[in-house]
Amino acid sequence: MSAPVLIEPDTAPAAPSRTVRLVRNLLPYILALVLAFVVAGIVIAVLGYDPVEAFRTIFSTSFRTGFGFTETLTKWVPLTLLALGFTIPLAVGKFNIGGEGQLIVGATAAAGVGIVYADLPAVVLMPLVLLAGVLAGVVWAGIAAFLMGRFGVNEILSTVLLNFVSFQVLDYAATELWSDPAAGVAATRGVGEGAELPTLGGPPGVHAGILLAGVVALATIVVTRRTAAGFELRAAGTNPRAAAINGIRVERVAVIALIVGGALGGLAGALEVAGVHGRAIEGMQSNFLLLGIIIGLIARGSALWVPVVAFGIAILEVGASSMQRTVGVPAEMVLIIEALILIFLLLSDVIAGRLARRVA
Amino acid sequence: MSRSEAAGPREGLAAGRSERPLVMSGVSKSFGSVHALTDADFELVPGEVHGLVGGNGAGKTTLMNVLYGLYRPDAGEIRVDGRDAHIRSPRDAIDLGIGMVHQHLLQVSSYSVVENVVVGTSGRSGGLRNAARRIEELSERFGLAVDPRARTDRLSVGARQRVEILKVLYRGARILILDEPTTNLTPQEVDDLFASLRVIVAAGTSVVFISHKVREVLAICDRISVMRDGHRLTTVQRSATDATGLASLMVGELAVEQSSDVAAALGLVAVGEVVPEDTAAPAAAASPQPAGGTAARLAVSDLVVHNDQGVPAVRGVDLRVGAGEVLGVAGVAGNGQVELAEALAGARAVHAGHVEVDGTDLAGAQTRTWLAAGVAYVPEDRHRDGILGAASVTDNLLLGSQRSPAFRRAGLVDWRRVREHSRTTIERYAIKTPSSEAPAGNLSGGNIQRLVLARAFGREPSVLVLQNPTRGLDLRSTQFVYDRVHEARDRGCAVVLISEDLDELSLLADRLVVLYSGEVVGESSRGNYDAYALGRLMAGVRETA
Ligand SMILES: Nc1ncnc2c1ncn2[C@@H]1O[C@H](COP(=O)(O)OP(=O)(O)OP(=O)(O)O)[C@@H](O)[C@H]1O
Ligand SMILES: [Mg+2]
Repeated sequence: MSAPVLIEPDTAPAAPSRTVRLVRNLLPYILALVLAFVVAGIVIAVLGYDPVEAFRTIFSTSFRTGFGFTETLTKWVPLTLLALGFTIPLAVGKFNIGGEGQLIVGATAAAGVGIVYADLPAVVLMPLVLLAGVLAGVVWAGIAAFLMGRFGVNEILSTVLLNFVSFQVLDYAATELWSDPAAGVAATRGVGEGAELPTLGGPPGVHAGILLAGVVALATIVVTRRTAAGFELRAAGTNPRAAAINGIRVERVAVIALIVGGALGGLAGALEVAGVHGRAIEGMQSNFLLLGIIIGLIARGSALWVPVVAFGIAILEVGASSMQRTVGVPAEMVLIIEALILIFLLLSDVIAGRLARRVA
Repeated sequence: MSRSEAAGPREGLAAGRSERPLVMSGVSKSFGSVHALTDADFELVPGEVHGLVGGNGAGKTTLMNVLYGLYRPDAGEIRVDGRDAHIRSPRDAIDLGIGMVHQHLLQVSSYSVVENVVVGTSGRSGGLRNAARRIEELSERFGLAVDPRARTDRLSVGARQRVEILKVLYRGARILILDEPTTNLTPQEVDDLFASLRVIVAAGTSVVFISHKVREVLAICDRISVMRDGHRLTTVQRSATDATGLASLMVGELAVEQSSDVAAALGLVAVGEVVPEDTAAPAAAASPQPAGGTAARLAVSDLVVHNDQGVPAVRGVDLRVGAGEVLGVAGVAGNGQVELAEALAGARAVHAGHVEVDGTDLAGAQTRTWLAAGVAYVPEDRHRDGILGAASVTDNLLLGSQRSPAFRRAGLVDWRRVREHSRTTIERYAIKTPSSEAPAGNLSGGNIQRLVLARAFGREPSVLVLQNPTRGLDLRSTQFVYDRVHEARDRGCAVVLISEDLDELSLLADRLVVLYSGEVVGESSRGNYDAYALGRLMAGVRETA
């Protein structure tokens, strides 16, 4: 074929250098971070505490003590998994607000298997426990995905409602089915020895589930960036019509993405049981859902950034309680900081958008 | 608006009434490494229709976006009514009496026409009822028929455009910018628009008319400015030029003689006068004549397709297209073309009937199966259906082939190969883009179409479905599309060309059918095209053949 070159190729100057681009991309993050801490610092000062001392405590806790660092890594696991469980469906424009429900049913199923088959050896039991968690998450998100794919039920609604149902499921397991009256809280009995993950390093050490979470995070990066499935996920999210016309089954992609999100939530639950608590406990979901969403949004949905942001948030979370202990600032302050970071980041998007339109 | 009017008389006295309503000079604008405008100038006199023409990516839209305050220029100045104007936003532009109707109509909402027109105007004087009366007045005066109470999302494209123009007039604009306003209009609507424009300029308003269609530009404009590579090449009086003269200004001297098709693309030759000329004749002789009994590559029988509302839009259509044949489907927009095109491309469910490609019935199969069977589709609305606007040019070129073994290594997408493919494709199809990683949505209209075509032709299709493939394209790009269609045909591809442009159809199609109200109402073969007969068929007047 001899396509006539009708327009001379554009011999334009080279695009801005890598470093310039990197700085330009990072600038909003740095600004958002600084602003969030400035505002939070002012609030802390107004409340009558010492902001410098408060921030020092937050950041030093994770790094000064082995316990602090262990706790940060331990928190990183569910945060990363729930954030990915949020961002993967988000890539096709679906909001999985059911992370905590998926975590809870995952934990319940994992604990159930760990209790019922407590005597099995670890090589058999451990995979079963994790599989049970993942499957429970799949079923839980699968319900929402089915309702969405078949009847067009809004997935935000269904995933949120399923969270409430999951509380009942765990309550039934913790107070009726496998209840442990001696625990003092509503919790199941402990799982068998073979269902407890070994500890790495230490003492105190991190449970081996962190390796699995790392592998999952890596796999997510590879899948979204390097596979046809990941490409289809992005395409379907960018322009569903064009994607469909070019042979991508957009609805199926959305359903699968939601189910994968559920699987990650379920895995997070199983790892909490097998690695942290040794049982399923009511309230174990903590505020992971909210944090997962915040992480996903701060990372702007990028699988590459989610683990990094999750680590930062884990540091803040772990620092929060020692800040309350030593300085007296309520631990909720940290949530305010996290929200402020997100708000300033979104704000900088708006401003950058305006600037780009005018100046670019 | 009222403020500038109040200030008007005094300033007017000082500046003199003969002051040009608009003078732009030395305007430059770059997007990253793309110099969209370099030292461009432009001016208007009162009460003229000023044509703005030039190739895809010449900077027409960007220049007008600068004037309308959507982009801030890197350099240059704008004087409105003799005074320096600092236009930072559309708000400023509107206050200066500048209004713009964009290439892609923005408002599609459940608001009524009145609400749509009034939204964003500052003065709430008199409320909606007064506004409705004003709109009725304006629409009467300028011949822009719309019902003020209708919901805009229920209106036809033509009516939505009239609403946009009314909106501009309602705000008292004295400069009206129309960016390719005729691309989505039927010929009748184009005539009506032109009639309205004549009344509008008679009232002293100046109109900027952006278009790629020489015939239209010559029909409506008083002066014509030609842009090339980001600046104004020249401005000519309508009376001092003719179609060929203008065409050579638009494409450069050599192109016109070089390509015989361009003459027809220009609409220089009316339907019926087009004789199968040298480029087509040998090819037609070389390719097997489909009528001669060879099996059809594409065979459509009793096809019924529903529109988005679930109402049959294609009602029992039969078509047969042979290898190396171009079948033209004529008709006025809205007679089932979109549904037919999408059904033939496997992108819309076939309600009843069969679509066979090389003997295999594809009705009911997944879109992917259609693609695998060799069906390629160039949709009419390329922004909505053709590209992933936010994704890179490379991603867009990969779209649809992401599972092809050619781009696969060890189960993963081989991005090195994909990027290489992207680079060669960009070169081969002369897609003008800052880089292969630039978002496709930022390309100019013509370059987006090149991208979509590159993807479709890259699949080496056996059946090619094109809908209005040259809409919004400049002459070079149009010629480029025609060349590619000829190439596909010569390779034995069955081409279905759905178009509202009779000139284009008579030029390319070996056979023409007319689609009216979802049914095929007439057929004629090359050499027997009669514009008037076709026109009657398209309008739904049945006759015994
Ligand atoms: N927002 C943007 N970001 C980056 N590049 C842009 C943007 N808008 C326009 N361009 C580039 O500027 C150049 C001029 O584009 P413009 O839309 O003004 O062309 P045009 O003359 O209107 O063409 P067409 O006839 O295809 O509509 C093109 O190369 C285009 O890719
Ligand atoms: Mg344009």
